[in-house]
Amino acid sequence: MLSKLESVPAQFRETTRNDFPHRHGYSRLRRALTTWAKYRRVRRAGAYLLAIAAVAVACMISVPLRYFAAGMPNQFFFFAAVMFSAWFCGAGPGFLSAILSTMAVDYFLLRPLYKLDFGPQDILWSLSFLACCLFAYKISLQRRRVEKALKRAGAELEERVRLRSTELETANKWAISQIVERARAEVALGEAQSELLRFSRIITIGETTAAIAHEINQPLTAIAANANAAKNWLNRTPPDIEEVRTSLAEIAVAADRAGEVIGRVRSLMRRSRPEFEQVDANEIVENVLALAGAMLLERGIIVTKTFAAKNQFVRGDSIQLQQLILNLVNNAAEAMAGVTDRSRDLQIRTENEGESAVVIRVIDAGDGIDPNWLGRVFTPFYTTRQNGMGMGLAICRTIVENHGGGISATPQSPYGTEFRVSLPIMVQR
Amino acid sequence: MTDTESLVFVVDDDAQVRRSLVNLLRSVSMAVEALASTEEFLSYPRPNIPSCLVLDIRFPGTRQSGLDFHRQLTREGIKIPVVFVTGHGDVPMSACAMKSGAVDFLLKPVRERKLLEAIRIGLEKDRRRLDREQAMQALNAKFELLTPRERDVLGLLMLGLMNKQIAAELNLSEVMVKVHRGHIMHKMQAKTLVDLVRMSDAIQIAGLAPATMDSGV
Repeated sequence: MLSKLESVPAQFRETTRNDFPHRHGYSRLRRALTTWAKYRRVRRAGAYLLAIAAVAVACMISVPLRYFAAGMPNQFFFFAAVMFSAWFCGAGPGFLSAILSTMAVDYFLLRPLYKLDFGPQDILWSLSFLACCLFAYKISLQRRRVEKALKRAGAELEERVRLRSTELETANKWAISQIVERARAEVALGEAQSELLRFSRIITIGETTAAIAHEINQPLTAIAANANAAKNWLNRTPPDIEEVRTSLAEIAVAADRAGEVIGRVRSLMRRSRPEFEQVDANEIVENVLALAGAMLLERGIIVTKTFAAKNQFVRGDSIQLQQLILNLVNNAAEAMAGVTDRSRDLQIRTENEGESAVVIRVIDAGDGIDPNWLGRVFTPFYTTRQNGMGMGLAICRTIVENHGGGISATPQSPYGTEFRVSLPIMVQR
Repeated sequence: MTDTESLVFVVDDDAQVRRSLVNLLRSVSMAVEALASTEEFLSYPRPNIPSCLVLDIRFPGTRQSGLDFHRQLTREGIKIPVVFVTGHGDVPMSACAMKSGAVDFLLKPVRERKLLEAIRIGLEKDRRRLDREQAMQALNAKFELLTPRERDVLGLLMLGLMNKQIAAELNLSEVMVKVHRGHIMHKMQAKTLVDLVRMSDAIQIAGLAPATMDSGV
């Protein structure tokens, strides 16, 4: 751990040191630092000993060599010792070995032998030797420093690369998590949207509950009355079987009718996930009018429908499209609630626009929209009604956009508003 | 209650409901006439027998509700008892219907017993009304037979005047008053004076009292 500390770049060490106090307390750090200081002192002493040893080894080699090859210069081992000391033991030990070498050469190799005698003749030689030693020492030291710096730079670089790659990895992880998060958010948004559509559908249905109840009540009345009639026909003497048969047939027809109403409501309540398929725009309009028919009649609204489209098939979710038209029809009915001086006409037209689109127009005879507010009618929570939420038309726009279509509102003259929904035609395969 | 002596009208815009109600009423031997709209009912020749109208509250197209139509009938003097049958009645609506003289206000799907009971009450009411009207008509016919002078005498009799007083009032002899009185009793087919007073009262109550009665006083 301690040696690692040495090799770690300063800024990193800072964080490490700062990390410790929190995790292990100050005492442990202090202990570690003391151990490290002691270790350094031992190392320094060792380095000096090593330098002395190097000079000793040079002596041991050169002194016997003098006897075998007398007269030959053999002081270069001391250079090696100096270089060795400077290289491996640092500046101080290197310098020490240079001084020691000079003295050892004078003592062992220069005449008079075995005597430290710096006469006028020897001193020149000794000094030049010392100069050479110091030169070798200097070169070695420099090399050593360069190498150390290189090593340190290498380590630092490695560390930086490591740090940077960690950073990159973190960034990468973050980016991936962001992408995942975004995808999840998009899914959630989609789910929320379809839930919203479903809820608004349920609310719309809730608003037309009275109409729906009436739609179911009628066949139920017929069933009850016919059943009682059948019972009465049977109780006669003799029983009138033909009348019983007719009554039962009527019951069956009425039950079918009730079933159809239930089916229509259920199809609007059903799943929230949209299913895109080939949808008949005329059928959508028919279904909606069947559901809202009683409500419209009750409000004295006269419906005119015109199916002028040659190709009325669009690609879409039939439930969402029914909701779209139901919202527009409800909206039209609301718009005409206050009309008393003219007939409450509601026109619904389907037609083709060029080759590529089916247009559904819903035209009411209400008082119309203030042209200044035309741009806002499709924004959420915008409403002119006392108890309106301002969601109906906003939901219409969402649905139309989901289908890749467009919706617009145009004031009619002298009164009324036209809502125009354009949906792309289903491409025939 | 016999079949031919009464007639029930069923007015409902829903063909299925209409057919079923007709079927139900026919199965209990009632004579039924089914009509799709209030206009049809108005233009239908109504026979002078006890009848009852089974009416839905709301009618599409026309903005007139069943309640409005009931009021219109009353205004036009068509006194047919009405049984309301509706899919979405509420308290104010039923209160309104009962106030304007409906026999009953029933909710769809309607209970057989309640419906038949209401219709029977309606028919009974209408029968009584018709009886009353017929009696009234008979009385009126008798009253029409009286000469102006006899009517004057009758008017004064009604006020409780004695023969002598009537004679003085009308400048007649007491004998002539007695003769007129005898004719009146005969023409009105009254056995006693009390009978005669009761009959005259009925006419008066019906608002058909002769104008001479006021001038006589």
